[in-house]
Amino acid sequence: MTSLDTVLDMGGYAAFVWPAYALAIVGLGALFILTTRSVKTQQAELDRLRPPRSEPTSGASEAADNTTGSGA
Amino acid sequence: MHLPIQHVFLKLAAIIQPWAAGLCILCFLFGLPIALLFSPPDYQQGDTVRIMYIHVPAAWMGLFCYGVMAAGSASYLIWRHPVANMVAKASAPIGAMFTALCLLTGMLWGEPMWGTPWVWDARLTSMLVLFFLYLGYMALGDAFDSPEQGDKAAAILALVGSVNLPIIKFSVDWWNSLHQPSIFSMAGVSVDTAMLPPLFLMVGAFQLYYVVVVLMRVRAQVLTAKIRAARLMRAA
Amino acid sequence: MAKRKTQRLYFILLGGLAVATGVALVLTAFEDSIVFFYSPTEISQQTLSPGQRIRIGGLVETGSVNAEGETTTFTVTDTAETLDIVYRGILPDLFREGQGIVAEGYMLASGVFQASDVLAKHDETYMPPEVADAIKAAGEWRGDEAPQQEAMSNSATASP
Repeated sequence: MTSLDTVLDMGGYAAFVWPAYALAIVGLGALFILTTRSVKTQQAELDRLRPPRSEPTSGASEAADNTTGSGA
Repeated sequence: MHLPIQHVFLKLAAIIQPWAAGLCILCFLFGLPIALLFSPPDYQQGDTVRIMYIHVPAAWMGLFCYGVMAAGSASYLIWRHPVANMVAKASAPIGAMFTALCLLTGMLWGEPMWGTPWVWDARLTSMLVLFFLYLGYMALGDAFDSPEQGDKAAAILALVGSVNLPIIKFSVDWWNSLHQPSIFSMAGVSVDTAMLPPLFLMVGAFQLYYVVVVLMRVRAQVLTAKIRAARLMRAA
Repeated sequence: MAKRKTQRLYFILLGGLAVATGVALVLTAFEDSIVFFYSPTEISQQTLSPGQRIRIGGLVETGSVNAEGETTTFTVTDTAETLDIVYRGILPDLFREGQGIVAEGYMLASGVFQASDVLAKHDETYMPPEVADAIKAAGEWRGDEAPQQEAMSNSATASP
């Protein structure tokens, strides 16, 4: 327990160290989620406007795009 | 908008992205516990030195993203590379986020150590200017009726603003400041070897995070261009 | 087409040069406002009007700190000149003898600096306490003041 307390206490600087790491997680996390969301909504919008099958000319490039989506 | 270069880029991105994401997670998995638990406190600053493992990599990413943005803007303005402009536009919000993170963690560090969260010294002020340059770049891109006009205006702003990069870097050498000089100098690195693993792991994690997110954001822009083209086709 | 690209390249290079020159001129002109603090030597060379607010920076001289209740008096030095400072309030955690500090306030008629704020400045060396002890034990410590000295006078060579 004491070791956990010392870790949480951060030598008396807990109020500064922990918020710094929390901000990092919130900042990086929020931008990541916003980005994945925008890719998903854009992809959905494009699929709605232009169903992949109905357009044989660009079928190959659409398939390439879909693999990118699963990679994220 | 079916430029072959965009598809080469997206195919390449599809290969790079999962590797970058995996390595990024690994860097965080090792870096965070070492930074928070297993690295030593500083002889003067105690445990507040752990803020450095966020603050310093975030500052470097803030500068790095701007460098990419300026280079991409230049190659867009000169050679009209569409992908270069997309990379520049994709880097802006990431750089803004890292710059904000640098400023905020700096405040959390300055309050207990300096005795103040903020002073208007050359380093802190020039870093705040960098943050506003990011905001200005993003706002300017959307402020025009035609997207191409907005892109050009924003690209010019990015180039003009790049004069701030050397000012940030050398602000602590050129003028008396409250902020200490860089940990990397001609004399070598002034951080003990016990503190370098968490620092470099966090640098790696942030850098790989950038790769993952910037590729996704470029992809989103390609999709936007395709949607626009598809709408025009429907309207026609 | 290639010709236009070269033209744009030169235009941007020239524009960049112009912007950089302009900014460099402005920064040089405003050097006094960009400098965050002055050293005791710089203060001794200037004539300050009474009550003029200014920031001074230096190292806290060893053995000079005297605390009486909430009032602390101490001396800062840049190794050439010294300045006595009186301050009422809470000092930052890093305030200690040999530490670089920046004090904001004004000169009293007695030649003592009345500080309203005291900030601690630290250098860019980071190490675990054990390493610091080992270096001190080996007698190779540059002294708390050596790296601090560099940190406090980093612009001494750049500013005229």
